[in-house]
Amino acid sequence: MGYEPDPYLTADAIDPVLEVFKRDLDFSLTEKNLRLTTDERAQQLVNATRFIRKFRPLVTPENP
Amino acid sequence: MITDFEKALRILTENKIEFIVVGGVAGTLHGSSFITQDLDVVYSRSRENIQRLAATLQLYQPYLRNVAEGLPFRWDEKTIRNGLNFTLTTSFGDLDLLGEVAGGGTFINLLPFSQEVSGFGLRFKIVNLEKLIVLKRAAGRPKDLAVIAELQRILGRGE
Repeated sequence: MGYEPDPYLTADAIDPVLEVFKRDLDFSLTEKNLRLTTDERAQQLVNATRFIRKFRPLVTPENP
Repeated sequence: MITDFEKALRILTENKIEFIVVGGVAGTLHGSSFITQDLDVVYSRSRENIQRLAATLQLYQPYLRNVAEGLPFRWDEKTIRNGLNFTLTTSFGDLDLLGEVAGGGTFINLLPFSQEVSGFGLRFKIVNLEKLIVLKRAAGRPKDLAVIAELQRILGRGE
């Protein structure tokens, strides 16, 4: 039996729970991202993960 | 462990693995501000692709994630053929290899909903924005709700 897409599962279907999340969303950072190219967005992700990799080990229960 | 996305995607593309990026990395490339820690890809289940996947990843110590150490897990063609979706740890980080994904089906099913992008100094396929939202909705995970809300706003704005 092959894969059958669900016709009711669409990207733009209104969901009241998602509408609440949208209301509280700070879209300013996303707006900045949308002005970047995909290469620049990828580089941003690389930079963020390098930062996390570097600083996460410094966080300990004694030094939260 | 946070995945070295650049290295992971370079390994997959340079070894001619057929895959489509889904999940958080696809979201980032569509403009999402949420940061992901692993790489999720839907891979082709063709015989040749399974052979390439087995040979390529063998070099990077693949092992099942969140499973006790020391189990007799072998990463080879037979394992991939007998399985479907693999959540792996590797020496370059966490990698989810999906043969089929809820809301999207297989690699072949997803191909018409993919687009080629440039990123990490490479060119590769990611799932398009509309389908990414559908996949995340189909997954039904509470942690994705804020991400879906953001992706819907991006979709509404017109990327």
